[in-house]
Amino acid sequence: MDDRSWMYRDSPQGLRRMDYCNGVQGFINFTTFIPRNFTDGGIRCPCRKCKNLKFLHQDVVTMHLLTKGFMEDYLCWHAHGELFVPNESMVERVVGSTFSASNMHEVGNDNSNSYKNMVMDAMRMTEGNVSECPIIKEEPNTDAARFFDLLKDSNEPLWDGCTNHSKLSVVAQVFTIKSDHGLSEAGYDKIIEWARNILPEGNRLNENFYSAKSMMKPFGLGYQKIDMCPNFCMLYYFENVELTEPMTCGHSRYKPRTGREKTFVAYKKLRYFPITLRLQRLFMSQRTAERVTWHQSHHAVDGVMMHPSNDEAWKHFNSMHPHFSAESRNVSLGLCTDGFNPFGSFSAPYSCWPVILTVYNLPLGMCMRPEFMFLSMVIPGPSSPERNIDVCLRPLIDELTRLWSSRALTYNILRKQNFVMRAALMWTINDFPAYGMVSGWSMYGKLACPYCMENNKAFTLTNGGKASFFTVTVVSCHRITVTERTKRISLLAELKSMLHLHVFLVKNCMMLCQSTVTLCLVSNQVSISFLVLV
Amino acid sequence: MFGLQSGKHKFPGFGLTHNWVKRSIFWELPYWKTNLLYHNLDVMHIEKNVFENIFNTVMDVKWKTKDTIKARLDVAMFCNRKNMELVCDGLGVAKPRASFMLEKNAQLLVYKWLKSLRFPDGHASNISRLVNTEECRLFGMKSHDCHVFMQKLGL
Repeated sequence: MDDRSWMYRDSPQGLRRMDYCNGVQGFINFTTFIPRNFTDGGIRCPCRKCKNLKFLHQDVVTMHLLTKGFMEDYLCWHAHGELFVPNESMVERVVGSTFSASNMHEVGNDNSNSYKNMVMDAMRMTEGNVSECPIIKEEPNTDAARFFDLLKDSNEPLWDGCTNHSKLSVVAQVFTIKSDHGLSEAGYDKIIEWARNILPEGNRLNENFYSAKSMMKPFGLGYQKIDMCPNFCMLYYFENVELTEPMTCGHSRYKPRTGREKTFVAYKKLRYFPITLRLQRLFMSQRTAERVTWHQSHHAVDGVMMHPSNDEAWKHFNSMHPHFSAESRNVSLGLCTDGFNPFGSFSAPYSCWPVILTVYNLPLGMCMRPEFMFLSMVIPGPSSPERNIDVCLRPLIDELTRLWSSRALTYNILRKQNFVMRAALMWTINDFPAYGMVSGWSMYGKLACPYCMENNKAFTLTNGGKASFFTVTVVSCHRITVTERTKRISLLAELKSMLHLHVFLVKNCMMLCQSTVTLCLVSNQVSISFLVLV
Repeated sequence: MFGLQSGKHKFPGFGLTHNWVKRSIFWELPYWKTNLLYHNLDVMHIEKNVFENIFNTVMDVKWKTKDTIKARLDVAMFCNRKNMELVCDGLGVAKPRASFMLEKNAQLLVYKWLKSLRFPDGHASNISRLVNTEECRLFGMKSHDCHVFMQKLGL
C-alpha cells in the first residue's frame, strides 16, 4: 500500500492541496480499473457524507471527495476492491474485514433490496473464507446445518437468470405487504396467481399462501398458540393441555359450539414466540455474531456507565456465576412489559400485554433497536392480567430455565464452531403498576413503596380514599395539628351534606329541564301532526 | 400454575406489615436469588406521568386535573390552607381558584406559545402540532417530548 497520508492531511483555509487532488484522481483511476466495483453504472462514494453507502457516477464521486473529503478510517480502500492489509491497530478486526472484502461485491449488488440482504447475510457462511482464523473449524450441528440447507434451497433465484430476487426474498416481501395492509388469504392467492402469469416461464414463486407459509415455517419464525382461561387462572399448557373442563374458576375453556362448526374455539389464546431459535440466529448471522460479544470486549471508561455491563448488578451476577461469565457468548437478557390498547386510546378499553426481551450483549446502538427486541409473548385483553401475569409467563420462564440448565447447542459462524449457549434474565423494567404485577409486591395502599415497606408514615385520605405519603410528623407551615383537625371534622361534615344536597338539586334541576324539553317536543309534534291532519 | 382469585387470596398481615400478594414466578429461575437488582422502574415513563399530572392540574384540564372537590375536602381536613377550602354561602358550594392554577387568558397564552414553538432537528417531536388551542389540550405527547418539556422548557 502506497503512502496514503495525503487523505487526511489538514487543508489550509478550506483549500485542497495539490497532492490531495492528485490522490483523488489516483483513487478514481484505481477504482474504475476494477470492473466489479460498478453497480448500476456507479461506484461507491467514500466521502464523509456518503460513507460507502451510495453508488454514484465517478465524476460526482470526485466532486464529493474534493469538497467533503474522505470518510474516517478509510486508509485501506477495502470496499473498492483493495485487499485488506492488517497493521497494528487492525489486527483484531482482520477476520471480520476480510469477510466483508471478499463479499463486498455481493453486498454491493444487494444494496437496493433489503430482503435479499437479509438472506445473503445469513448465507455468507457458505461463501466466506476465514483461512486466517487460527481456531479449528467445525461443521455446523445438525439443527444449524438443516437451517443453512433450507436457506440455500430457498435462496434459488426466482427464475433462471434472475439476479436480484430469490424465492425467499420475494415471499418475505409479499408477506410484509400482506400483514401491513391486512390482505386476506384469498387476496394473496389472487395476486400471486397474477404475478406468476407475468413472470417468465419456469419461475419458482410459490403458487399460494399455504405453500409459501409451509416454506417459511421451518425457519423458526412461528409462534405457539396456548389456550388460557379468560380469568387468567390457568394455562392449558404442558400437563393440562388435554383438559377441557376448568380446574379453578369454573369458566369453560371453549366457546359453545353453534351448529356446524367442527372445531372448538377457545375463549382466549396466549401467543408465545419461542426465544431460543432467535437467540441462536444471532450467532449464525455474520453481521450480528461479531457484535454479540461486545459486552465483554469493549473498553469501559472508569466512573462512567456506558452500558449495563459496567454496573454493579452485572458485575455481581458475573462474580456469582463464574461459569456463565467465562463464556462471553452467553446471552444476558432484560424483560419489559406494559399494557397498551391496540385499537387506539379513544375506543373501547382494551389492555393487551406484550412481553419483550432485550439482548444486553449487543452494543448500545444495537441493543435498543426494534430488530433486536424480541417479542416473547402477547397476553390478550380485554382486561389486564393484574397479579396473575405469572400464569401467562409460565412458558417463558420454562424456556429460560432450560436455557440456563440444559443449554442449547449453537453454531457460531464467526469462529466456525459449535458451542453451548446459555442465557440468563438479568432484570425486568416496568412502569410502577406493572412493577407490582411482576414483583408480587402490591403497588396499592399504604405500603406501596417497595423500599420503605412498612417503615413509612402514610395515611389514607378521608375523602380521596387514596394513600398519602405526605408525612404527618414533619412540622410544616401549612399543616394543622390533630386537635385542630378534630374541631374541623364536624364543620366539614356540614359542608359535605351541603355538597350532597347541592348535587341532588343540580341533578333534579337537570331532570326537570329535560322533562320540560321533552314535553315541548311532544307538544310540538302533536301540533305538527294536528296541522298535517287538518 | 394456577392464578389467584383477586380479592380472596391474601396472606396474613397484608397491608399492615407487608404488601406481598404472591411469590413471583421469577423466583423459579435458578439464578434469580443471586441477582442484585430484580425489577427496575422505567424513569422516562414515570416522568411522563408526572408531567401530565402537573400540566393538567396547572392548566385546569377538565376531568384530568387533580384539584378536585374531594381533594379540597382533604385539604380542609389536613392542611392549613384557608384560601383553598371550599366556600359555603348557604345556597351552594364554591371552589375558589387555586393560586397555582392559570387563568383562562394565561392558559391561552401558554397554548399559543406552544403552538409557535420550533425545535432543532431531532430534538423533540413537533410540539406545535400536538396542541389543540380550541379545546385547550395537548395530544400525543411521547415520553421524550415530556422530558424535553420538563427539562428544557421549564414548568
